Amino acid sequence: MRDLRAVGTKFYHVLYPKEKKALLKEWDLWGPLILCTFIAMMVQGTQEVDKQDGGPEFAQVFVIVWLGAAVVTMNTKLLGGTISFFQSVCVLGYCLLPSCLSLILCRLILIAHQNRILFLLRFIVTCIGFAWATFAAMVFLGDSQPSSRKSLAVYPIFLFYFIISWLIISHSNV
Amino acid sequence: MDLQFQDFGDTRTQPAGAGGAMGGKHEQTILFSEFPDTAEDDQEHDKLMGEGEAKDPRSLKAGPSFWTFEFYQQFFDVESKQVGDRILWSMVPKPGVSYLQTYIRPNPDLYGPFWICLTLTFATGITGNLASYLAASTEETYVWRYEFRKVTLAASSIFAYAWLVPLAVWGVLALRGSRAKITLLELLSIYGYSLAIFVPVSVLWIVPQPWFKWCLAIVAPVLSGSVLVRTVWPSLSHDSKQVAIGIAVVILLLHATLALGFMLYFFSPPEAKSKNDILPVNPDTNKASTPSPNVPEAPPKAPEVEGDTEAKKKPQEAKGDPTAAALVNPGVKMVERESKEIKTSSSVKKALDVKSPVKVQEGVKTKTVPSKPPPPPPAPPAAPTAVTTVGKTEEMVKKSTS
Repeated sequence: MRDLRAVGTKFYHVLYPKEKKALLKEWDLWGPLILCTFIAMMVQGTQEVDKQDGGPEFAQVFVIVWLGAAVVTMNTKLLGGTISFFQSVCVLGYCLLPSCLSLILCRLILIAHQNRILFLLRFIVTCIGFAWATFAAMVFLGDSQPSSRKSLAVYPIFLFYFIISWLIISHSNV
Repeated sequence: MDLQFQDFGDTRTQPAGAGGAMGGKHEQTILFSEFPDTAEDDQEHDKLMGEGEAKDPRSLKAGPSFWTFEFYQQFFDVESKQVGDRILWSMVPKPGVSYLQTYIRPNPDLYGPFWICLTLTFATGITGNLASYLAASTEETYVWRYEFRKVTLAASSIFAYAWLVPLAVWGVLALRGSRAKITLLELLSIYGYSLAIFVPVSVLWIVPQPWFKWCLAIVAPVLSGSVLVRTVWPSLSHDSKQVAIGIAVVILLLHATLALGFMLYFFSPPEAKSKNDILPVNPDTNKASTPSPNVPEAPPKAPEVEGDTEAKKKPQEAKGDPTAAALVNPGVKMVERESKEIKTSSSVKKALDVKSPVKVQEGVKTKTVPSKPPPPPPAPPAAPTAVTTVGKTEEMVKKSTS
């Protein structure tokens, strides 16, 4: 129960990224695990013969998320960041929440018969999720770098969420 | 009585630990309980111990052991502006300025190479999918599916190029006894940054005009390749003219092959998809012979494609085998383009199920791979035969689908 509450609090702070300490004080990886599993399940391509889908496998998404978070964290630390490894992975994982929400919305949009307008709508929703996730991650992780290297540390975060968003927008079979 | 007071004022008012030399002057014994460390002592201590502190890695280049984290931090000691400069000037050959001296030399880094490679991987994957989507959207019956495997293939080829080729060049330079020492780290940096030009180029490659694509495919490797060669040239200058020029040509060719490979694999129209992937070495033999080795086997395999493709596809992907996958004929593509067979193959495509045009090519590739398990640095059969057999391939494909 206590863990659930902690996870819930962190979700809340990702959605309204005002207070910087909440995610960093005590890290946990439950939230990232839930989000990652959810995204991977939704985005994976099917292997049915009549419905060829070139989407990623479940394992590929998993690897991208966890390895991606690890690589981004290592980059931050190599550049001289002052944050611990698991704290950073925790933040990056929790900030997947906006992307996850956009995935759910896209999935709902996909129920209707697709045309260009709906694609545009999905694109906008994904973009909003991406921007939100990147902004939230920057709020939490931004202070750990000296300002001359800030963009060097922010770029990998940007790339990470960009790739996740691309996986989400490309998922187009129902 | 005259009281003569000795002057104890100095010793009394001094802090207990300061200036041990003063203690000896007076007869009072003063116990010093603590000795402050002077600033000089600290630095000396650190240098002697060779421990790498994150704050001062540059003075400890020989210090941090390979197994500590600080060893790797020295490769990431760059500022944002420096990275920006390095990227910019790797694309634009500035006459009279050595890229190496001006931008890389003080501290070569691995941040740029690593993140540029990763960015390029995903850029080509994403824009390649976009390009095929745009090309396909003009035909109503073709249902576009995106392909994640492009990303994995892109990743293998890019990282192989960016990390193995500098290793090879460094090895060659070392073997030739080059006097102007370029370290491996600098070579890795230079090669990594030279790939930066392909990121915007891959975005531009979405434009479906073939002539525009070819223009880009020529201009981009020329620009960044020239920076590469100009950087490496001083280390070759002691060697004989022929060898030096030979090595420079090889470097340029590799670069151009990479660009061509990207363009042909990721950005060709979906029905004419071909894999022209690159071996990190021997580009000359590779280029001349990619059409040939597997073409003779293509015609008999084509009819059997459909059934086996699914089963073979995944293991094929898992191998990520770019070298043996170096087929399905850029020859096919070129023949198609020259003889305007794109229209016929699009009709083929319409008759086929969703991804089978790709699957046909895939099937050809997957079929040929098991028969040639070690990825061939191919023994080159003659290229002209490729053209005729390629025509046969097209016919076989059409027959199998009708």
